[in-house]
Amino acid sequence: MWRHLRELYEYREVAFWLAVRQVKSRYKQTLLGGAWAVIQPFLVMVVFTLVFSKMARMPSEGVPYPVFSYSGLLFWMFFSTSLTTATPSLVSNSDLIRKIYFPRETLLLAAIAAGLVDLAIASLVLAGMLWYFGVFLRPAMLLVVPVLLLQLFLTFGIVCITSAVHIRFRDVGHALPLLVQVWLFVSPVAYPLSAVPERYHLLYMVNPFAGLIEAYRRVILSGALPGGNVLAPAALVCCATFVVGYAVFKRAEVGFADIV
Amino acid sequence: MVTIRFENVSKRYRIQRGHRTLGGWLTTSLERVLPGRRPGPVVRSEEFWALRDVTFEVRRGEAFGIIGPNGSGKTTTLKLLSRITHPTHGAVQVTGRVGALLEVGAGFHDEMSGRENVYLNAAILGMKKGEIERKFASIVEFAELEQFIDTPIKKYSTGMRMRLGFAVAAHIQPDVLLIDEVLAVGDVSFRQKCLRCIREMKDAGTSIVFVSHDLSVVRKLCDRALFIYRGEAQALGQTESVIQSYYESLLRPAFERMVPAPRRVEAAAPKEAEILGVRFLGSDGAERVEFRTGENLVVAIDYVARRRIEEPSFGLSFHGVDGTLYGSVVSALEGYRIDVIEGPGTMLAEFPSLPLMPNIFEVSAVIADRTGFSRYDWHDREYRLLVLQGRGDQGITYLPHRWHVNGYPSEARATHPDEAVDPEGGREGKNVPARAAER
Repeated sequence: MWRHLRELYEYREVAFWLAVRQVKSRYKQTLLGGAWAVIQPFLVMVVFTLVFSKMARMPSEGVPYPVFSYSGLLFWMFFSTSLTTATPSLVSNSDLIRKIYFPRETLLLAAIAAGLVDLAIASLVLAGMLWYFGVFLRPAMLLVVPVLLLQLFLTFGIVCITSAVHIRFRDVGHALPLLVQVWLFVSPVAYPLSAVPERYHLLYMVNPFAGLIEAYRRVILSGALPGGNVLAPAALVCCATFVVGYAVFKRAEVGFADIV
Repeated sequence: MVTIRFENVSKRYRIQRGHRTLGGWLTTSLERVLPGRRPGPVVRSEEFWALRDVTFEVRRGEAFGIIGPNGSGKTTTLKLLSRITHPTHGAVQVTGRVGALLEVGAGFHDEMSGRENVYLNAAILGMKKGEIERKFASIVEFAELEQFIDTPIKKYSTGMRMRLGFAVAAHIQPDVLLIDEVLAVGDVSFRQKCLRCIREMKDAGTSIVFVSHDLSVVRKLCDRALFIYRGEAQALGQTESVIQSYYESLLRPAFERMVPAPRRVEAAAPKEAEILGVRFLGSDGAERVEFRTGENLVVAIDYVARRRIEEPSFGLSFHGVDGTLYGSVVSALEGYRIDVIEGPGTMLAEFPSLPLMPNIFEVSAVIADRTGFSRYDWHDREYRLLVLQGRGDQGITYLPHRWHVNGYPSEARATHPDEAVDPEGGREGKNVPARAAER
C-alpha cells in the first residue's frame, strides 16, 4: 500500500490535469455552466423545505430548515456525484487505460476532485444563506476540513470497489443510482439525527455518512465537533473503507487493460 | 547495459462468451443448476495466446524493431513493456523511465487546448511540472503548432495531433522509448524529423523499441529486430536477416495460396500463333518459380505458329499482385528483329541479374506483329513468379552492378559472381539465344 501511495504521489499532476479535463468537459456547451453546481443542491433544498418543513413539519434543531437541509445536501451532493461520476470513469477512459500506463486511481481522484470544485461553488451559497439567516462565519468552521477529509477517504474507498466491479459488470452502473437514492434517506440529510429513535442509533450509525453529516452540521451551525460517539465510528468506517477499497483496487488493476 | 529484459513471456487473453453482465451470469448459472432444464449455452471462455514464450533483450542505445503481420503480438509486446498489461508467464523487466507512443495522441482531450493537453500528456508520460514548463516552447516548436497551441484540440487535424503527441514523447527524455506505428500519420517532412529525433535519442543512449509495417524504416533505424507471428518468435537477430525471413514467410504462403489464373476459353477458330505456355528457368536450365533478386532468370515462351509469320514480336510483362506494372518488354519495340516463325518453338528472354525486389509477380506473355500492338495471342497475368531476397540490396529495385578496386582491370571481370553464368553461353533457344545479350 505504501508503495502504491508513493507512486500515486509521483503521478499527482496527472490527477490534477485529469480533474481539469473533467471540469472542462462537465459544463461544456451548457448555458449556465458552473451555476449548475449551485442550482442542483439549491433546488433540492427548496423541495425539501416545502415537503419536509412546510408539510411534514420536520424539526431542524432550532436552525431555519433551508440552512439545515442545505448544509447537509451540499456534502451529500458531493458524495453522490462523486460516486456516480467516478465509478464509470475507468470505462469511459478505456482509451487511456489501453494505451498508457499510469496509476488508474488517478482517474477516480480526478472525478472526485472535479466534484470538489462544485462543492466549493455551492459552499459560497451556503455562506450567503448563513449570513442571511444570521449565522456568522467563524474560524471554528475550518473544522469541516478534517470531516471533509474523512468523506474523501470514504468516497475514494467506495469508488475503488465500485469502479473495479463496474469494469467487469456494467450492472453497477444501473444499481448505483438506486443505492445512492436509498442511501440519501437513511442519512440524516433531510431530517435531524434526533428524529431517529434512540434505540436504533447504534444500527443507524453504522452508516458512516450519518456521522459525517452530523459532524458537518455541528461544525457549521454551532462551531464545534460532535462527540466521539458520533464521529469516531464514522471515522473508523471511512478509514477502513479507504484501506480495503484501495487494496482491492490495486489487486484488480493489473487486469484492467485486458478487460476494459 | 541491458535496459529491457523480456524473458520467456507469454500472454493469454480470455475471450469471454456468454455473460458480460451480472444478470447474464446469474441466469446462465441458474440454468446449469436447475434440474430438468437443458443446460443453456455453456459459458466458455476461449483462450487466446497473444504471445508465447518470447524472449529478447535490448541494450542501452540500441534500436530494436518488432515486425510481423497484423495480430501477431507486436502491440501486446509494447503493452507489456509499458506496464499497461502484465504477462501471464515469464518476466518483463524495464530499467529507467519509459516513454510510450502506442497511439497518436492517446489521452488527448478534445475540449482542452493544445497547451493543456501538452501538460496532461506530459504528466501522464511522467514529466514534472517544472520540467514541462522548461520544455514547453521547444515542444511546441517541434510540433510546429505555435499558432494553434491555445486552440481546442478538437479543431486539430490528425497530423497535428500526431505532431503534438510525438513532440511531447520526444521531450520526456526517456531511457526506453516505445513506438507503435504512429509515424505513418505525419507527412514526409515531419516523418523525417521524427526519425532524425529518434536517431538522436538513440545516440544519446535511449533504447528504442519500434513496431512498424514500414520495413524500410525498420531497416534504417533498427540495429536488431524480432519477427513474431501468431505470438511466437520466428526470427531474432540482425535486422536485415530478420526482415528477409519475414518477407519469405509472408510471400511464400501467399504465393502458395494463390489460385491459378483461369484459362480463357479457347477461341473457336485456331489462332495463327498461339502461346502454349511460359516457363521460368534458372541458370542451370531447370524450371522453377522461385528466384532471388539478382539471380539469372530465363523466361521461356513455348509457342506454335500455325502459318508462316514474318517479323513477329514477343513481349513479357511483370505485374505486382496489386496491379502495379513493374516492367514490360517487347522485342519489336527494342528493335530486335525476328525474321520468321513457323511451327512450334520456344522464345527465350534472359534477365541476367533480376532487378525485381522480393514480391509476388504475375507474368504476362504476348505474341504480336512487328508493331507490337496487334496481338496473335496474349496470356494476361497467367504465370506467377516468386522473388525472394537476394543479397543485402535495398530499395524498390535492384541495380545490377559490379565493383572494381583501383580502376577497371578486365581480367577481374571473369571472377565476378555475376559472371558465373555466361549470358552468351549456348541456350537451348530455337530462334534467338537471349535478347539481353544482343543489346
